[in-house]
Amino acid sequence: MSKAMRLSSVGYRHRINTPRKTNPWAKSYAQGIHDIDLVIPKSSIMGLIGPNGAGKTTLLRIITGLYKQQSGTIDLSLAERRQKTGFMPEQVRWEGRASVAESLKEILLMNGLDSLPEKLLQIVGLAKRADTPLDELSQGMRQRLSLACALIGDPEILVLDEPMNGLDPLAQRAFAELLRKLASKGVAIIISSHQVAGMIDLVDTIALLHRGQLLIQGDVESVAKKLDVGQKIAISGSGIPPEGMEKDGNGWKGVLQGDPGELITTFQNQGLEFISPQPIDLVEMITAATGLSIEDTGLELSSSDMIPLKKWGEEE
Amino acid sequence: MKVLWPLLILFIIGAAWGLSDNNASLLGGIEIDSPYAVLYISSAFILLSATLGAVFISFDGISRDRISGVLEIKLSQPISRRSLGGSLILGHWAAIALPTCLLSVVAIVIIGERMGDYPSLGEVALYLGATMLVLLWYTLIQLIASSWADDMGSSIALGMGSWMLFTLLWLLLTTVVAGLLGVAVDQTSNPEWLQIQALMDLLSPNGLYHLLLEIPLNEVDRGVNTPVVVLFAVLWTALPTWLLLRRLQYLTP
Repeated sequence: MSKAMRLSSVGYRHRINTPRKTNPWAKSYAQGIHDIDLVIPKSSIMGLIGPNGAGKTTLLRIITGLYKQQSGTIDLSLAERRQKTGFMPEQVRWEGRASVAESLKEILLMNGLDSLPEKLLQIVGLAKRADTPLDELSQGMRQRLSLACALIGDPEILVLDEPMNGLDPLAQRAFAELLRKLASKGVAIIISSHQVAGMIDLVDTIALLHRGQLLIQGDVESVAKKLDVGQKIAISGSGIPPEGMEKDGNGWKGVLQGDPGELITTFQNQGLEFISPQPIDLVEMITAATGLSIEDTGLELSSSDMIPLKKWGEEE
Repeated sequence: MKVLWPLLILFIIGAAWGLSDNNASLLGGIEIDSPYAVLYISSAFILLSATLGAVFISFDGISRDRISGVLEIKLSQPISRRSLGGSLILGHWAAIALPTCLLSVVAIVIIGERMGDYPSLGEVALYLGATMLVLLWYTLIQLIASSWADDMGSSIALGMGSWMLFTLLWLLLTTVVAGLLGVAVDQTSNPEWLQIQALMDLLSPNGLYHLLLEIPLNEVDRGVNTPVVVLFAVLWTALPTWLLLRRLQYLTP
């Protein structure tokens, strides 16, 4: 699979205000991302997964050319990245009296284009809203407008930061279909999302990010295998619960890992009535990769990226 | 702009109408003996209305996009930051400069018709040019302040604060400087005080605007040469422009 972009040992740390009595304007380095080696393949959808504060948005901003990496190399220059990527940031609050079409035209002009393609509005489902003022748009409509901005100029790489937020289930499905269509046309798509359950069917590859480090990258199955997080299967049946199964009304139920065929053979004489493969749990992947419990991963999220680090310590 | 139009009409047209009246008399025995004198005095009303308009239009020129997240989209576009900065400056400046210019032309016609005498073409060009420049300086100051502001509160504070500093507090600051230099500030005709005032005016857009407008007035001599005034006008245009473009070069959402 050919690559759209390659990042080698890329690092970036944020500078944040840390006022002191002697220097109220003092700044220190906070956590960002470091030593990221990432290959973004063409014609595929990559899911960038990690808890809050892991560095997902920072990495996406580097990919789009908003930030210049402080260390490491990227095979595209800053200008090339801005030229080749389309970026949809998280939760843009479009507001004002300007219409959807006027806002898009402003972005078109920044791309050296002057006419608004009717197709663009149709693709994102805003064709009937072209003249609607931004103040009258719902959150879902605003998300669509942000997506339209990202699609301007036929980008080779589409970078989407939490794109499903604010979209209703129907729009999410249409959105997923659109992304698959774009990927089939050669566009490299990279998505960060907290809706990990919904991503598993959408993405071709995943990259796990935690505390600014890229833990693992690859297709979903191989990553699951490497982390020893296999496919889970929910089973249920009637009668006396077999060993390891819990009682459920007049029957029993449980979740097991293993080959579906073997499970059917094992439980068919014990009242097995229902078998359903469960999606691979990406949260479980994160905890497996980091060694942290779900609670720990969730609780230490947001604080980590705002604490200035005096030294790039070993713990990172 | 809907709010600004009445303000601009009231101040610019109103000042021209009132000051061009043959029976108009000003405090301090200031004489209005020519159409250009009317323009010069009515420039004070430009500083109270049009510059405030520049503040209203530009104070959130960058910070509003930053707060809403739209700045992230704009900065990731393939346009060069220099072009983006140029369009920001031109757009915000034109939004206040064009109505002000239009109303100033109407004001000149009113003055000419009521006094029976028009200012010369050179005087009109100087008046309009200086007015456009002072609006550009305010636009640049506001956009720079806006690029620093992280929220709407600091945008308003920086925008209105800078306008109040140059419009209301500068004379106080000048008095403090004169006092520290041992110059008597209780006699307004004291040449030393006038010179300190003029030198301090070089550092303020409002003061420099008036120094530019004083160039054709032979009876006004505050001890600052015309080339120095022009040099400072160039510096006031070039330095903030450079600073804003530099800020934009490294601006992050």
